[in-house]
Amino acid sequence: MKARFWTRSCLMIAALALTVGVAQAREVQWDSLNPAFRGATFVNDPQVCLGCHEDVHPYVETAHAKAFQYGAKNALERSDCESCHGPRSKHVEDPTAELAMTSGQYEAACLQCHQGGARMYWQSSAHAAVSCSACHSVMEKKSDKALLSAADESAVCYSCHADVRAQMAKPYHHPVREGKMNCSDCHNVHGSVGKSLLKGATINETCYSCHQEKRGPFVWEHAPVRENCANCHDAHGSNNRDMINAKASFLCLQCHTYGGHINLPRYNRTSNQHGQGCVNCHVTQHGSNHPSGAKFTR
Amino acid sequence: MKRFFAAALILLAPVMVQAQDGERVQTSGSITMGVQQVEINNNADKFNEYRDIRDGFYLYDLTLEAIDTPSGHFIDFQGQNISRDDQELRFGLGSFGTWRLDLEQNKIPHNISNRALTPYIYQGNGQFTVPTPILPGNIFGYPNNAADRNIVLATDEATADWLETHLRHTDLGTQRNRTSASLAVRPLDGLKFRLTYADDRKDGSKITYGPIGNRPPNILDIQFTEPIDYTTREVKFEAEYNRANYQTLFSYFFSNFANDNDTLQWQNIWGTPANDLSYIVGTGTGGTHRLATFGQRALAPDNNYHNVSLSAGIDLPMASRLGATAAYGKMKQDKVLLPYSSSDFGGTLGFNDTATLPRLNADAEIDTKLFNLDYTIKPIDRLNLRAFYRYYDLDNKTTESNWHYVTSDAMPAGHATGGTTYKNKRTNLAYAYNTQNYGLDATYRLAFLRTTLGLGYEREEIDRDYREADTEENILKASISMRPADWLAIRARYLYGDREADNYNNNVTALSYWYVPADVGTDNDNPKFTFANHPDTRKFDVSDRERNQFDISATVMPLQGLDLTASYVYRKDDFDMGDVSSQPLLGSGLADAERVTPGDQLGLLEMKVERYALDGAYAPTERLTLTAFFSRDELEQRQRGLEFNENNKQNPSAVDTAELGNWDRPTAQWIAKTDDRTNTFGIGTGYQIIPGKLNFVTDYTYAQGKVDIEYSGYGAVSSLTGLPVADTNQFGFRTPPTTKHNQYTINASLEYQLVRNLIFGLHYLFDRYKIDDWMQEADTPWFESVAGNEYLLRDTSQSHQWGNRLVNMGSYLGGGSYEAHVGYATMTYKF
Repeated sequence: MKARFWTRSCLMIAALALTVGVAQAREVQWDSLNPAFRGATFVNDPQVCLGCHEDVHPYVETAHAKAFQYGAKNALERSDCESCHGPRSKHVEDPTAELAMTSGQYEAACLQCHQGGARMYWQSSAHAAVSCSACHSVMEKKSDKALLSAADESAVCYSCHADVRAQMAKPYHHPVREGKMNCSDCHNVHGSVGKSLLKGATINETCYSCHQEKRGPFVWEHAPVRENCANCHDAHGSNNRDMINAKASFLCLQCHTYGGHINLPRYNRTSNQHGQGCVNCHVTQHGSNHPSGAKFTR
Repeated sequence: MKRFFAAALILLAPVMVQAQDGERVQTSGSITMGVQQVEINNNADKFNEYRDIRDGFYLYDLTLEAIDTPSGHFIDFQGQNISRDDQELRFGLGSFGTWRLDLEQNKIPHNISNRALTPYIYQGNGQFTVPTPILPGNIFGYPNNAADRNIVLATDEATADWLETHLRHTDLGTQRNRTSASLAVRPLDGLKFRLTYADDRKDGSKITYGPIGNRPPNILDIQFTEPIDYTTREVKFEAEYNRANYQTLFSYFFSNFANDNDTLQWQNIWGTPANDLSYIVGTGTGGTHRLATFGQRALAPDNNYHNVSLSAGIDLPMASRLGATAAYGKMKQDKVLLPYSSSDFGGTLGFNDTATLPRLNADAEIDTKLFNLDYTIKPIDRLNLRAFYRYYDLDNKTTESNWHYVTSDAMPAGHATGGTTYKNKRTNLAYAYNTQNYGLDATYRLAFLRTTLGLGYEREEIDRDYREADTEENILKASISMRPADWLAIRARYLYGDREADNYNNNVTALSYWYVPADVGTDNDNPKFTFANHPDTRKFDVSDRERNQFDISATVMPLQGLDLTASYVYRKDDFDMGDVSSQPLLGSGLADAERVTPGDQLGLLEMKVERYALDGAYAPTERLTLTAFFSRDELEQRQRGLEFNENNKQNPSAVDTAELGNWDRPTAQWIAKTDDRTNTFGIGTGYQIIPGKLNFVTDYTYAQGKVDIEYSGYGAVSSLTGLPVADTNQFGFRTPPTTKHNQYTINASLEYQLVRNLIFGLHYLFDRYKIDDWMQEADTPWFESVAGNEYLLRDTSQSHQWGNRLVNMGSYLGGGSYEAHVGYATMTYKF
């Protein structure tokens, strides 16, 4: 297993090294993005824009406006409005030339600066089909962070993922609706190496970022727990305590049919049906570090 | 927190003073404060589960920002719910585009119950004791001898009486405070560094259980609190280098988790050892069972985690892009181990001495490796292709050893000298796996109706060590999105997955026993040479699976200002592999070697999810907005079990006429169908009564959840006669009552803007929650409170076995019904 990993890694790195040699810059070619830009040049003076566009006053409160105004570090940032809207000399000469851009074209403008870091996998993410402006309000500060299109991050997500809002309404949930967690605490909506746009490489690695006590490793591992927390839990909410996927002992009985006490909702003891079911005795079901922990009762 | 807050104000002060010079320094901010009154009729802790809403003065929101315009230096502060248990603070300073320092604190309460009672007194260091036990001598309850019945029931009454006088309130909940400092520096255009340090503390207590006894039903079990005193310190360093044609990201992360409580010890509340022995002894013909004075177990161990990763994205010809990530992680845990048992039952074997362990430390380590490759290209106009490969390896390097298994600090009858049975020789298995995913996705934009079609194929291969099966899955995906008109958008997606388990080995558990056949003799409960789980069982996460998923959503904007979205989600996983019959004893030479299992798959057979959602927003005028939503979430599960006597695995014919019978009896099967439904409904409106002056906003939300379990088969009817089984029968079970959750919430706010920067508000919140859950009540057809004391429960069979008793901290822990009214008045000042 180990040799196979390193062999593949070396091959991949060699392939990557080769590809760097043919890397190609992807700066926005405004005239190919929109032929109406042909012949236009950068005005490089936001005051010219503000002279007519008084309605964009909220823009000055945004992180972009402040960064461009007080901390521009390159020509693109110094061009302020035009860094996103493209060269506008023709528009200044003839204000009726709107140079309208589609949301997809604006995405290319965003990626001029926002291609790196957590957005490395944007093009291959499930959200690549959605434009940046679907979630971000660039011209007005509506949220404390990230120029989101709504003050509450979860509201932005729910505008498409209404089914998740329904799950979060269940009585056992992570504190998202109370505002103590955000969708982005677990998901990287701009693309990731994890499934379901998770921030971690796996579901478990994502969960361990808050539940470090479950990380172990343990002397006695519970195999399906180590492999996938979602085997037993629904992180978006549940009608069952502890956000588990089935009611108490019925969850355990989806895998265990040992005999006697362990394969029936009831066999002559209160613990099966009350409280947390099998966990009433098998209390270290996430893994045990006790020498007598083979059955997770210690 | 106070230090944090004070430091922030001190740092802000010079800037605020400088703010007098309006030309040089721009300042802005706002403060929202007020008073509130809360009235809760019942369980305040469910209402405040993840928040802190109390009477009194409240500083809801505070923001400050100052920018030194010539230099680009700034300082800002944001705070919510300041000085409360759910406060959130962020203080930042820096220079735009060059560097930034952020200090953040997020406090998250998790209140579980304000009504929990326990007989225990916490002595610190994870130890719980009682002032005096219930019976200062032998206890009775085992064996299952009718002659002892009255004694046992009398013991129940005595326990209930004892609890009446010894129960005391205990806090139940945790408080998590996460504080972090992050420095981001951009020394050159395209080059960024970020260093983050976080200190995450979690204190309080949560629900746990303390079983003492060799195995059910000889267990004394008690529900009590587990002390939580966690500290996690984390460091993350990131370096980014971004150019127009490629981007790179290096990241190193270290996390160290420490638990101040290594061990949980709880006193056996029923009795102290007679004559200073470290155990107590039951009486009767069934034998004796030694039960320790204290139970003991290890709590979450200190551990640490390293992860280093390197990612790169490169733009290539033909509008293509290659993204790659390689990451390596290491989880390590090496706590000193406890002995097998807290008691000296082992005699000369010394099970209460760590010298008898095969090793003294956990020596647990898991390494993870990730390699991810993504390639996207537009080979021709309108066509996008994506190829991907992903490899994840979890390599468990934990040392495997041969252990004895001294069950729950006790020793069964016949082993009074400290010997262990063959079943108590166990090996810890270093479970590991690796997974590969690879595939190709294609999307093509058609020239009409703004339509995009998508097709994809993915294959997932998972190799596992010490599990029942490796799995391979082929996944097909199709999608369509259309925007035939500006007022209409439709998206649909379908996924089909076919997973196959490779040579499912239902006897893999045998690997975790280290005894030899000579140890076993003729013992009929023989997990190594017979089976552990019933052979017809298929664990759903490693079994065959047929997966169908379908999503569709449509957004309609028929009028200016009207926006309607409807969506439907369908998920179905079918785990049923059909006939799985086998002859687990074939070739053993036993008399029952030819017996055949019923062949009906046991375990989770099917899971189906359907979700419907309808959202609408309408703004008929600039002054009025209306919103509404409805959603329905349906989860269905079907599972099958089979009840058999584990003591007759080798000789099922011996129990052919017993209710707790042989493993090849089809009538011993049971079926449970779970139907879990949640409906949510909400409406809201906002109206500018006086535009720019007086606003009114209100919303109403209703959420209703129901869980029904339709149960049939063994337990509901006899496996021998087919006749109904009484609720008081030890195996009796039937369809339980519906579990119900209902929550109603009303918010209303009236805000008046007196002058440009001064707003007054009146607000009201109504929140009502009602729960009915048979598993959290004290009396059901299957278990009952003793003498009306909800803190001592027993099985309605009133069996003599101690496994029927459960001392608990009360009903509806973690979520009782409540009704709350909150009124508050606020003032917001902006500057």
